[in-house]
Amino acid sequence: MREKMCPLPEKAGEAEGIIEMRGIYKRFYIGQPNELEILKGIDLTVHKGEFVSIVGASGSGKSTLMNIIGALDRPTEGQYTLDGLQMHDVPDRGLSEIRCRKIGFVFQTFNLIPRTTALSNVALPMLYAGLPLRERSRRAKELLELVGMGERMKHLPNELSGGQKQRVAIARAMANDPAIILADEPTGALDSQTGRLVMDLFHRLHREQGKTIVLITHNPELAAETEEIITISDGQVISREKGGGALAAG
Amino acid sequence: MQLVENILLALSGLRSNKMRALLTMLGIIIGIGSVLAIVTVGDSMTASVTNVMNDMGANSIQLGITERPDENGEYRGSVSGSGSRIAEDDLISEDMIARYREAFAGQVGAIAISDYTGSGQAKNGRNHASCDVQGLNADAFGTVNIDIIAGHFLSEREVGSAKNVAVISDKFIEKLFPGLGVQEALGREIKVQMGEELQTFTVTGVYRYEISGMMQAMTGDVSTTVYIPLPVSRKITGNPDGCSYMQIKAADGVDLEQFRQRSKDFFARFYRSNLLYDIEAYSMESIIGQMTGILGTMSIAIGIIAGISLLVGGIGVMNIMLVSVTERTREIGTRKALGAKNSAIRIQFIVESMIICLIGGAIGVLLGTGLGRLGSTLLGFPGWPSVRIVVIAVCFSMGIGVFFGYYPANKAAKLDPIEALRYE
Repeated sequence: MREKMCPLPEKAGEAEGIIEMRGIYKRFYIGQPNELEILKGIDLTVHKGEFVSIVGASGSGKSTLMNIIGALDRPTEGQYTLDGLQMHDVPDRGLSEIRCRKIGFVFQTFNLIPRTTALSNVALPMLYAGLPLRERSRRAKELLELVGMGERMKHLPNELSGGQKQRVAIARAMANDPAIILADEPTGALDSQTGRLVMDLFHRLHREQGKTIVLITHNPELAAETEEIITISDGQVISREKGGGALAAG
Repeated sequence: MQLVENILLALSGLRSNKMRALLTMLGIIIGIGSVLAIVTVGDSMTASVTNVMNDMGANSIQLGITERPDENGEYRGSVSGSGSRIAEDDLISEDMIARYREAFAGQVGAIAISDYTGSGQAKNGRNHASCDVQGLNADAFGTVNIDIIAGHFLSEREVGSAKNVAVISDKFIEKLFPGLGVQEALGREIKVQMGEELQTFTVTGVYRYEISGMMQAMTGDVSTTVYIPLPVSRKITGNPDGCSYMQIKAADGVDLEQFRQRSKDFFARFYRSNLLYDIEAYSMESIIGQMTGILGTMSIAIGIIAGISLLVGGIGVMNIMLVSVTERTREIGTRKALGAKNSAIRIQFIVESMIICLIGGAIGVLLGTGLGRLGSTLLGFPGWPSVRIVVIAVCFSMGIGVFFGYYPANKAAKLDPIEALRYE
């Protein structure tokens, strides 16, 4: 039955995985003498509920790959299917919609909206998704409780420590129940102890909530905790190996 | 829904940077405030001027002789009083007026003729009062707009026989004979020092002194007018019989414009062969028209100044919004990553700029109302700005916010999220 042709790419994607990349190329300055090929044919599959890490040295193209996964950018060539959606078919205007509903970003520098309470920060993606106020604050409270920040909902970002900020940011990333959580060096700006707490939170969300998490890092130790480690070098996937997370889960 | 969030966000942004917000608003505050203040003063001034003029007689005309220019096209200034006196032969004589009355019987209500005698100082022991003395004919009663509270105004007989009588104000009595009632003042003699000579008049009437705002504003020491018969005044001043100017009240139901033209033509006949003088006649309507014209021109000038100050204010807002967009590049990137559409970012910044302008406009309205009230009160005819102008001012300031906020907001909306997130 699998041989049967599927007319809808959505269905094909759903069958394969939540992230499905085939032959992704990304070039900059196209047609100019300094044309640059950053991604050179990436094939990548992440299944629903997986916790994977993408590792690579700086300049390896992992940031560019993350931007494409996060629908901040488009590949020059190749097919990218996210949660059954053919990204090629999504118009530019639709990308913000994808980011809003399908992706939860966690940044290295937290990027909480200044002068805005933790609660409002978490509620923000739901505002962009058009949820009514009551629903927004109800869910935002729930999420803050979940990450252990229920006591500090009314605090402003500059009243929170780094670890607390990142926990608020993680709650915010989960606001619209996205298909994937995309965490870019989430512990990069934290000391090892708070970094540990943040990693534990990711593990818990993965374990208890069944979240699909893509962790981008250059730290092999953190990567080793995840189920699968995808190593990028010079714009290509050079290895995929099982990590400690998978062993522990298995 | 998102609008409320944006407004709250903009307000919290302004709160966290009060000084900058205030400085940004300053242009708008000053622009809106000054327009409102000036319009308020102008409006109440127009209302008051129109009022005063209507009091003076909406259905009367001013008729007088006017100089013809000499061969070089220049004026000697005798009518305006800066040049030599007008010869008796050139003045409008009693005879002409009598013939005019005859020709326009039934149309002429009253002909008021006045002669400015001069200013003087009345003394009674240690008390003294300054006054302006004016000679009037009996017909002039309707044109001076006073309320007689005791005695009577200059009568035909008193004027005709050139009796040394005077109509004075209650204020004048108060200063000259403290404690004396107005009725008791009748028949009293007052001595007025005018230049070298001391003139004595018998009080025949008392009028209520009304504080006219403009007068009060212009003169601290109140100098009230003493009205005396026209021939008496001419005797004192040595002015020849005949007048250079008079106010003619038309009878009810007379078409004023036509009346003005025909009266002018009538008197102009006597001056056809006069090389020095001609006749000119104005109606209050035409004067009010001119005043309105002047005020209109003033309004346009004020409008232009206000426009420039609001333009400058708007540019200030645009500038600060551009700074704000640059400062918040990362925030914009984050919002985009979280799923904000370009339109959401655009609206956020437009709302912010609108709020700045709206608050500035509101402060400007308060400031303008205060200044306008103060200014119009000082000039003697207190007024409030009309609701219409306040609404226009507030809407206009919002419009400025949208107009000058659009470019920075659009710049923010078009930021590339990757670049914006990387911005340090």
